[in-house]
Amino acid sequence: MPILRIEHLKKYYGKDPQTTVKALDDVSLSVEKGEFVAIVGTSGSGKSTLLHMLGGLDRATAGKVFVDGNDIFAMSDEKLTIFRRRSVGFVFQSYNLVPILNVLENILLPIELDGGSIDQTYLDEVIRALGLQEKIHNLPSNLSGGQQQRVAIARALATKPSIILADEPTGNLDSKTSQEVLILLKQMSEKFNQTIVMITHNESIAQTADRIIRIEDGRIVSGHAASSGASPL
Amino acid sequence: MTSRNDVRSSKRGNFIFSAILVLLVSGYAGRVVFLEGKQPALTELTVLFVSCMLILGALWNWMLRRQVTAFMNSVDEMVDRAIHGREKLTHFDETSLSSLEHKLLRYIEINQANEQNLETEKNTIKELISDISHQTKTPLSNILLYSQLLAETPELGGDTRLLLNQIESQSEKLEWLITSLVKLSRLETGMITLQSEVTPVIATITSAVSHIYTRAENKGISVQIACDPLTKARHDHKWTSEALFNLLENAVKYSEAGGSIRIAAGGNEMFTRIDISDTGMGIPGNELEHIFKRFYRGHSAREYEGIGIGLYLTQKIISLQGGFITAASGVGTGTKLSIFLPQI
Amino acid sequence: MISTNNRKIVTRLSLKSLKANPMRNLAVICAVILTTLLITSIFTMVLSINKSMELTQMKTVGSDFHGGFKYLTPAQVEILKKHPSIREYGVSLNAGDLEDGVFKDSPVEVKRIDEAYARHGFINFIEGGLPAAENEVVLNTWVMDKLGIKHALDQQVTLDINIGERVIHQDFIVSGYYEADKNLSMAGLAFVSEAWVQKNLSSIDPVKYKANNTYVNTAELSVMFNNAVDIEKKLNKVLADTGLDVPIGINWAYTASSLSENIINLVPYLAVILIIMLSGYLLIYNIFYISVVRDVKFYGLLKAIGTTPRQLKRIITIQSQVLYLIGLPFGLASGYGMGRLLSPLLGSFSDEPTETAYSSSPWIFVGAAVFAYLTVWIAASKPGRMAARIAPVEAVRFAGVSAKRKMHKRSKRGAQLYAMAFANLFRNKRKLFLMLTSLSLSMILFSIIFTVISSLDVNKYLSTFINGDAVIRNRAIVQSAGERPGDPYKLSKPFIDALGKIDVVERVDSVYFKVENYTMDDTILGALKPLAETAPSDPALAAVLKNNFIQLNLYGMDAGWYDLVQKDIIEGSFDPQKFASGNYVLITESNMAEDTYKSYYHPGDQVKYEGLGKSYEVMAVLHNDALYAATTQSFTACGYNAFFPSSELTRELPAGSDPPMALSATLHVDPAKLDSAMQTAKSIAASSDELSYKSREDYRQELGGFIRIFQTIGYGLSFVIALIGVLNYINTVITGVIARKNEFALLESIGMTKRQLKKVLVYEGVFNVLLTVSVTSTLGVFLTYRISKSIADNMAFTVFHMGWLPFILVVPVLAAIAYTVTLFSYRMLSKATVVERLRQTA
Repeated sequence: MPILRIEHLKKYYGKDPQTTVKALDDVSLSVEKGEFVAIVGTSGSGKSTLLHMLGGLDRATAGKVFVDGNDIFAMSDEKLTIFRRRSVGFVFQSYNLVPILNVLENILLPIELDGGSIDQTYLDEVIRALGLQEKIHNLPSNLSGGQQQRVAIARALATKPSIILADEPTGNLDSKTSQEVLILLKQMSEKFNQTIVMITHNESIAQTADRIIRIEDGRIVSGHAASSGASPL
Repeated sequence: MTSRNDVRSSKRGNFIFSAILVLLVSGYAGRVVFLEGKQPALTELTVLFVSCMLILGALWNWMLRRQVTAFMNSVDEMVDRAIHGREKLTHFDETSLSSLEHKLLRYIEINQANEQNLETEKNTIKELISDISHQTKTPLSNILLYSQLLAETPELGGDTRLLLNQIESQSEKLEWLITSLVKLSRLETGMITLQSEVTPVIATITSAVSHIYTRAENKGISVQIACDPLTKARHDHKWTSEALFNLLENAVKYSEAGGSIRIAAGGNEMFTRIDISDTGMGIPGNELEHIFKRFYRGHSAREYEGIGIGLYLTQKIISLQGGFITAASGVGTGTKLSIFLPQI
Repeated sequence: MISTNNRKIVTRLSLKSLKANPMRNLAVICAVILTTLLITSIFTMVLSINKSMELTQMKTVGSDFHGGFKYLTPAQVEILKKHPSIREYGVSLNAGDLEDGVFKDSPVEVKRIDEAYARHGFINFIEGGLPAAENEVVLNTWVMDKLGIKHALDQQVTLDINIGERVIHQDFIVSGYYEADKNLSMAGLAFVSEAWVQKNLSSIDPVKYKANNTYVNTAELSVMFNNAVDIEKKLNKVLADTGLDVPIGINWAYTASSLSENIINLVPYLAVILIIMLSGYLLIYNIFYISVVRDVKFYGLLKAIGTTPRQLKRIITIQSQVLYLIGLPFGLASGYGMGRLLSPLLGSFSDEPTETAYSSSPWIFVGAAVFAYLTVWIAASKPGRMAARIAPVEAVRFAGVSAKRKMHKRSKRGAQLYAMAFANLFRNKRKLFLMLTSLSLSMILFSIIFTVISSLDVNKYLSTFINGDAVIRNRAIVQSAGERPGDPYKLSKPFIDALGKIDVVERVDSVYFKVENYTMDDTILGALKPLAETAPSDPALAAVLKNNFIQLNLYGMDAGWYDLVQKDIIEGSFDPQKFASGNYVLITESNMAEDTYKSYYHPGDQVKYEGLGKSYEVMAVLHNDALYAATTQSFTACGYNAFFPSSELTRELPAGSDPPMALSATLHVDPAKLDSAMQTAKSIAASSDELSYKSREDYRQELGGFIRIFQTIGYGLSFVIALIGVLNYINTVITGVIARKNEFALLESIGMTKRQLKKVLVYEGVFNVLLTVSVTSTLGVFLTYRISKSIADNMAFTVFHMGWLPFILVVPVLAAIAYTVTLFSYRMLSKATVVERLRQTA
């Protein structure tokens, strides 16, 4: 059962047909539950736009996005936000953290917004795995770019969401930390049956994915079909 | 414990609040009446006021209770739907019920995924086992073949012949070991499905005996069967025969020449019992509880051949059929193993 | 069902984001304090005035008892006072009146009272207490003055007390005295002891005397109930329960509620409160709006993480509430203080002399807090909704002017910047229009108020009331409610001559007054009858028609008044010499019906006045309020004022006609000897109660106070309005700049330098100012002229004088504001990007 299904998604900017920018031009895609999908493409190819659409951060000009059977764009703003809060973990390229909250509060934010209880052992595990134990009371302004990104990843994992959408999550990390983070993500995703959609420039990271989707000028040029799942067991 | 305390304290809280309300309302009303003097209009009004307040309070209380009950009912409904995979009760609402439902569904989903993973793994193991057994057959039979061929070579030195014998017997042992292990793994992963029927046990017994007869005769041990042809039990003929064969094998192995083995079968209320008694060396009391364990070899049995999985296998087979096995023995007085199989 | 327990995190987000923004917090708190302060002071003033008026009325009535039972026998008193509904009571006994000659015009009643009565009757002893011995008496200060004794205890005084059947002449000792306002209550009071009553009145049978209407030795039981609701009903109930039938009296100070019945009076206050709330709203709205627009990324990120629109709105709401709570106590306290300071000022507006009582009702604070909260709530709601609707993608959108590229090219595109700025102005026509309108409106309102105030002309005001340097009037001629009677003829001819004899007095202009009930003639009927048909509900008109006469005020004036006639002429022309012959009359318009002012007659008509025994030719028709200073300043229904030379009134009049009363004598004095003349005239007038003396200076001072109040309120109001306009302008500019952040980034990326950007913004500001100035200097001047002129012409004491100051001021002030605001918004743009840049490289 595909957890993500995109049908003829279009995102155009501008009204004048001559100056319209086509960020996404008729994209269709489906992702299975538990799949790890990497999205690659040149700058401005529309990958970030695609990711934003998947999380319901932005509205499309045309087309539909179904997440776990829910038509995202048919949902009200309120319900969409709640859906995001519970089912999606975001890692952005930059400006991930709420500047007025410290690291711990940032990580716990989606849980607290839902009024839910905190799984302390699990969180401790995640924080330790990302090497953030020393910094949990720091404010984002006191962290390096890489540390901020790790906090964002911790936050994305905190609610054990069904989907993790990451935009260059290892962009600010050195290669060793990148690998560790990737392993952590994969472990978590297996344990909690999570789907990962990750935008990356890094070919070696892309290779570890179940499927690589290439985008060029707002269209998918390869990686449409889900791979036959030859998992290295 | 805690929930009972909570219930009690909430009941107490309820009572306290109602009491305070009643006291305040009636106190105020009474004081007003007292201050203003006995005027019928005022008294009427006061009485009306007091009763209205009380009724209102009671109504509100009842309404709140109903709300709580309704809420619990929806929680119940929500859990039901989740368990049975029906449509969700709430859809991304900003309510604790919705949050709870999401948590539950997520948990179920993760569990199901894990289950599926396990399933996949099991299947992989199944394939592995079948692959191994397939793969080892050929090399083993080859080894046996070549050793036999070698044995037929004329002018083989005595030492060489001895070595060859060793190779042969070890290979046979190896073959037996692998077969047993494969059987064992099959049993353990539940890949074996036993087909049990209610049939006379005499056939199964004779089948098992037939396999051991030659060896017993060679060793000079007599075998006796005492079984009514009508005695029936629900069992898988093939596998139970194998189980019985294991026991008989042991009996022969651990008995001296001239000993005897007696197999007796009889039906009871619920179970059909098959006893296999021998006159062998017996099992010391302190080891009796361990004999059915995997790879267990008794102290004195060490001198003999064997790996220690025969009894384990037997017990597995019997218990999978819904029966059980017991043992009675004494050192030097022989061993009696009793198998109980369900009758229906 | 049962909502999620996520209030804590929302509260925490609100508080933390509050802490991150100290400047904004300060601004909002100041706005809250300002709004609350103003509202509280208005409330305080209104309630204090209300209380003052109540107090004054009660003092006029004489006590604050709810009501009373009159003309009782002692037995009746005993029965009545036991009634359970009576919370408190006081008993007073009518003992008689003071017969002394000095009290002829100001009667003094003699009573015996008890402690309760004294307390409720505002009798606060300066020294001493109620009389106990038979020869002790309590007097008030003005009575003591009239008797010529000192204000001290144990003074000896001889009094003549008229107890109906005889007059008792006795010596008394003052056992106590108190201060009383002669002008407030109808009669003065003196108190004797029970001993005296026993000795002298025991023979008087109250029942008999009640029947004879003398009331001596009748008691009055004044009572207080639990509350002032339905006093009449309560009193009647007591009578019903006790089976007695005696006259009751209700303290009309309670029933004639001052402010609440006259809702019309509240309207200006409500309008002011609304304006205050509006300005507070604009201030707070602006601040929050800017804050939300600046923090778009923050809210976008929150939404992306899962903060629902409702939660985002709550964040803003909680912020506004916290800031409100912080500012509230300061606003309330300072507002109450200011209100107390200003109350006396407003009190001087009303005609009656009022003692200022201060209200400290909790309703002031509750009401002000509620109104202030409403303002804050409404102001924060739109920004809250804006924050709620922010798209989460804003968190990831690149925005702002980056500081990366540095181009040192001195561009040749200088001219184009003008064009760009100009074009930018017209991008959002609606916003531009709104901004222009509000700014111009504020400007125009300000200039109107300014012009009207600068048109206030003291002399014009004065001339309405007084013609010369001082005037002595006989107040008894004009009877108003509750005024003491007096001799309308006090201002007699010899008296006037005495005034003229004061050596520095150059001239005395007198005005004589006579009332004539004029039987309706055809002309009058012809004018009134049709009106009665169209306005049948006018009671005055109906009464007049029924009576078949109208009441006319006939005035005879000395030649000194002739100069003032000309300006009030509507029809005809004034020839002083012909007028002086005595065959002509000047007639004013009549107030025939509501808002209808017309004259019955026209120049050339002949009218005969019975009271004067002669008929006159109408020389001219004057305004209804012509020669106001000369008149009694009261008008009759459907009647009119007729002016004659004074000789016509002072000559021999036909038999049966009342002699004329001298209404006023206006003194024209040698300016060098003003002071001495004033003193003499003043003391002459002080000898009688009826005569009042007022000099030009007195009037000037009155007006001065009045003008001051007017100025304060006027300038305050216009300042607030100007503030609103300016704030709106600031808001438009800042939000315009912030909303175009992306656009500026784009422009920068195609090569525009920060310098050029700054230039564009400055030019935009300049164009804004130019546009505004052009509107105000054309339409604004025109409107100001027209409106101010019509207001000024209609007000009694204004002479239209165009105020040019506002229009001149507007250019530099507006330019300064535009420049600073532009710079500030530009700085805000660049600031954001520096922070961003830091983040990206960290």
